[in-house]
Amino acid sequence: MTRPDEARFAGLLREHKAILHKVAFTYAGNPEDRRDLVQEMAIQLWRSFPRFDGRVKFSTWAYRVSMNVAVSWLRGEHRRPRDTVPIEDLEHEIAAAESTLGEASDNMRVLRGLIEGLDELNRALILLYLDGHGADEIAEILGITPGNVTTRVNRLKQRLQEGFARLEQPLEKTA
Amino acid sequence: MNVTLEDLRSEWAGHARRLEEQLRTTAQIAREDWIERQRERVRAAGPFRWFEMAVWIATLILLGDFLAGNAGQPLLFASALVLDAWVIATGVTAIRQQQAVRSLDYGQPVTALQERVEALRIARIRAFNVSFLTGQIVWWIPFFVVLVKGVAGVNLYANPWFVQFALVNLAAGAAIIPMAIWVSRRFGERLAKTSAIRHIADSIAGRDIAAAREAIEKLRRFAGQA
Repeated sequence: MTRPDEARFAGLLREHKAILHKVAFTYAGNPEDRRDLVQEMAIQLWRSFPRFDGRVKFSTWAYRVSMNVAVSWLRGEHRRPRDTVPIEDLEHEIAAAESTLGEASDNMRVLRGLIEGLDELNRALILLYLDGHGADEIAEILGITPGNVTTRVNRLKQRLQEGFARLEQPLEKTA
Repeated sequence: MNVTLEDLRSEWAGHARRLEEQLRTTAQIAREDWIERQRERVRAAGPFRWFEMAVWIATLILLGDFLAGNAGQPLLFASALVLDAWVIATGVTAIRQQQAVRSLDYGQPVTALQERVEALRIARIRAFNVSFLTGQIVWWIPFFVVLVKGVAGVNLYANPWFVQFALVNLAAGAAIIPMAIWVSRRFGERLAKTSAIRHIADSIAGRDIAAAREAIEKLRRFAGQA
């Protein structure tokens, strides 16, 4: 990568780094894993940037790369022993993400519990939906048709509603 | 309480906005020194790690030297040739696999890239199984004969006990293949105390390949292709 490309990459990554933290929060259960995952995603983005040709938006591309790393990480393909991964000084960023996404309401805690029950592909789908992306953009990131996205989001809505209903039942009984 | 996904979506949007605001005040990722470290890391990791490459080349040179020095002795020459072919084949396979992994484009859509990753995983497991299982034969007799001749200068083929030695070792080497498969399938999970042993057992037993195939099927179902 040339120096101007590196500067361009740095600017784009700074602008979109929340994507990394949101994906890490969806896929990793504890702060140490999230830190490792954010680092893996940032490294992969940096390595892959020379192939970024601008045919899709940078954010779309960054979601693809981050989610591909996260899915591989969840399947154990990317997981390396922690002592071989130099921990970069990401503490402030991780702390910011932990405090923001961690100070969640009861609803968000329940939602995260339900997300953890989803497989890696549906996690990607629900995160993109929560992040406000439309069916076309979700389809572009995941590599499926927009119609398929709509069907799957509806199924997830139903599943999440059922999950909420199940969780509420004991509360209602005790109330 | 009736919470819909739409309610959660707007609540999530609030959290995401706050996260972006907080991250704007930090600038750790993509700082100049961070980029410099990544550059060094990429530079350090070649297509085949330097140490592995050095060992591989040294082995080929030693075997080449042995072949040249024993061209007049057909049995020793053939043993070294088998060993040489095995070392070349496993080395070239390893290089090709590492290049294939490096050529993965993580900017591809998730289902497409993950299917490619799983296909590479299947290829990697198959290559490991072939090299591990054929290695049981290659390393038992040819390696031992070449090693003894190369280090001590003794030609084991000239020893009157060699035929018995070779038959016993060949039988043991050949028996290890079905035995390794059987033990991995029967006791793999119980024997595997460490993840490395578990990976070897899962690879030999074919469980890893089955899992990778299942993952491909799942990806295709998700993408609506199956």
